[in-house]
Amino acid sequence: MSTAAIAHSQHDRLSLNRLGLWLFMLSESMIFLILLFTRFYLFGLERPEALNQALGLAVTSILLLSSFTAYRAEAAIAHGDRTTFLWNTLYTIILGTLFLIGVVGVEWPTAIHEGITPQAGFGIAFFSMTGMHAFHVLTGVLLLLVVYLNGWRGAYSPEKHWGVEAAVKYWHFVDVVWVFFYPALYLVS
Amino acid sequence: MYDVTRISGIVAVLSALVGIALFGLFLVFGRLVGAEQAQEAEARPSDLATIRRRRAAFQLGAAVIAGLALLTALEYVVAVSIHSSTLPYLVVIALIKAGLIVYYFMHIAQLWRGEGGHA
Repeated sequence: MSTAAIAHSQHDRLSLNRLGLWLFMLSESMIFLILLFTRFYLFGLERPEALNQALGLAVTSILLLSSFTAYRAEAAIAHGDRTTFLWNTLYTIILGTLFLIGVVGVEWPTAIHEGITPQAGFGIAFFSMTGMHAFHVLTGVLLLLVVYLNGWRGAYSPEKHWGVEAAVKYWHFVDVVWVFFYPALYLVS
Repeated sequence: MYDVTRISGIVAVLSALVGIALFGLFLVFGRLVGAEQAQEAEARPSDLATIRRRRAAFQLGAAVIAGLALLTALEYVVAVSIHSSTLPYLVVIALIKAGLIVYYFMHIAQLWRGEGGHA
């Protein structure tokens, strides 16, 4: 097989990988859409005042910032800058972990303390939505950890970094979900 | 409705968002890319194009995060300052934010344009 044919075949494979990932994210988004519509169907524009607004805004900012570092990591490896790639992947992992601590470690106990429980009322929507999202953040952090370790071993290059691209796209997807969940849970009235 | 701690927390986070936006704009206008410029000065002609493309990609990312931070701050201000239904405003802001992420960070255009995603 000629070099041009090999390059063409690799390009086709990459296009198929991308299409597959987008279809996967589309199917995942159905789960989140159902949760979002359920929240409005059950509770309309109601929102408990007890939710910690400062914490909601803080975790949102953390997740937005992590999307920026994830973007930088992907751009860096695409242009052959391995050091910037590794640092930004690490920043993304740290920010993702901080988001998880903020939501599951701080916000959940605070909400329960304020009387918002998973068993009744608005708590059903709140814990379902944040719980499902937090699970996806956790899987994203684990994916990025694998990418970081592979990157540390020199597995990626500007020509071959599909693993980084896929993990980073997934991370942005998780961020997009939160873009809709944050106002639905904390802001709408 | 809110105690002093919560108001301080919200002010702190809103300030952080403005800080993120300013940091992004600072990067866009190249104040923090001195090291890259120095690298560019020493680079071989064959590496120059890569360095410039990488810098353009980083600056694009900085511009997008600046926009996202400002929109998030605006979203919060809209939610607390408008006393009628905020839903339409919040939906529009969320759609703009999601659009920025999907187009610039997730490179959705690669699906029909083919290879390459960074400026």
